[in-house]
Amino acid sequence: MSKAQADAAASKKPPSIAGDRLERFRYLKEILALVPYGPGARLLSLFTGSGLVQAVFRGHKARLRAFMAEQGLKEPLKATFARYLTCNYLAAWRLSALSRCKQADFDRWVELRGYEIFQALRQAGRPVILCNSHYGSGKTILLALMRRGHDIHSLDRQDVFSYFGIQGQGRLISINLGPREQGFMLKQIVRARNVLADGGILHIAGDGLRGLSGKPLPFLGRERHFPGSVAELGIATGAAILPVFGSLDRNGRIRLDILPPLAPLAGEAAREDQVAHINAQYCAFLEARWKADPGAIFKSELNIYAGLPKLPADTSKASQA
Amino acid sequence: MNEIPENVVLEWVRVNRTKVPSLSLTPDTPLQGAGLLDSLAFLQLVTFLEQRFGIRIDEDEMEPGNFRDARAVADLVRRLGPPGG
Repeated sequence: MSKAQADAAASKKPPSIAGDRLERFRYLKEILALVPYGPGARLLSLFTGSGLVQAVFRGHKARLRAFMAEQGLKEPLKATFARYLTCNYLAAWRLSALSRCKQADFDRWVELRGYEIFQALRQAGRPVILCNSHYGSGKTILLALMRRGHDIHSLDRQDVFSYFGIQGQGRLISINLGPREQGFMLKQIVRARNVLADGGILHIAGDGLRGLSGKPLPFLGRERHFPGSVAELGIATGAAILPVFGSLDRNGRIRLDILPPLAPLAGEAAREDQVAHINAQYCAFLEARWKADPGAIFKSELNIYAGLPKLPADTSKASQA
Repeated sequence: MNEIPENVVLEWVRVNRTKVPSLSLTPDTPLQGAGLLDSLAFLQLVTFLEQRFGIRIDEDEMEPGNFRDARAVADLVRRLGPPGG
C-alpha cells in the first residue's frame, strides 16, 4: 500500500468524535443529505431573513451589532445578520449538497476567481498551500478544485468530508488534527511537510488558534495570535502560499477568491522575519475581509474576537495604515 | 554514537525553545506541557537529530511519549541509532 493509499485508508476510519459537536448530526445528516442545494438554499434564505428567527438568535445578533459598531460599519444589520446565520449554520449540508450538484449547477452556484493563479503555479510544478480561514464559505474551494481534477491534502480537526458523505472525497486526503484538546501534532506537521516536499497541494487554515508558533498581531483593534505554521511550511518547502476566501450571499451563491501568493521578503532574511512578514500580509487580508463582509464571520471567531485584549486606539490605527 | 543524546537534545532546546526562556532545563523537564516547543519546533528537532545522529525517525515514532522530555528523545535516538554506534 502506498503512503497516499495508507493516508486515504486512515481517513476512512470513523472520526473519534465522542463528545464532539459533530455527534449531534448523526441522524440529521442523513435527512439533510436528501435536500438538494437549490431548494435548501432558498429555504435557508427565508429562514435566516425572518424576524422571528433573528429574534431567537438575538444574542448572536447583539454580538455582531457590537462588532459592526466598533468598526464603524454601516451595513443594514438585518441583512448582514441573515448572511451571518446562513454562513454559520448547515455548512456541512452546503458542502454535501454542492458536492452532489451536476457541474452546470455547481458552476451556477459557485463562482471561482483567480484559478489562473493557482493553475500557473501547478503547471510550473510548484507545491501550493491553500491558506483558508475560519470565515465565509472558504471550504468550498476544496470542491471546486477537486472537480477540476486536483488532489488535495487537508489539515482538519475532523474528517468532515468523510463524515458527511461528501462526494469526490477520493481526491481529498484528510490529515486529521484530532480533537481540539490534542496539542501534539508532530505527525500531522510531518505529513503536511512531506505532501509539499513531494510537490502536492495542502489546504490549511491560516487563522487557527492552536500551537505556540507565530506571534500576536494587531487585528481590527485587538491583539490576536496568528500561528506560524503556514509560513513555516511554505518557507521549509518553497511552496506558494495562496490565500483563499469564500463569500456567501443570502441566497446561497458562493464566490471563491484565490489571491496571488503571499510575497516573501527579498534577499537573505531570517526565518523569523520571513514568518512575521508572511503573517502580516495574511492578517491584513483577513482584516479586510472581516470589514468588507462581517456577515461571513464565524460566530466562534467573533466570540473569540470579543474576548481579545483591546489595543490603544493609536496602535490600531498604526496597524491599519 | 559518541555524544550523549540527552546533552545534545538539551542544548538544542536551550537555543530553539519557543517560550519560557527562564525555565531551567533538565533531562526530565516536560518539553510539551511547559510550552517549550511547538509542533513546528519539534519538526526542526527531528530534522536536526536525523542529521546529527544519522538516523531516520519514521512517522510511527512521532508520538507524544517519545518527545515527552529530553530523556525520552535520547532513548528514541539510542533505539534508532546505527548498530554498534
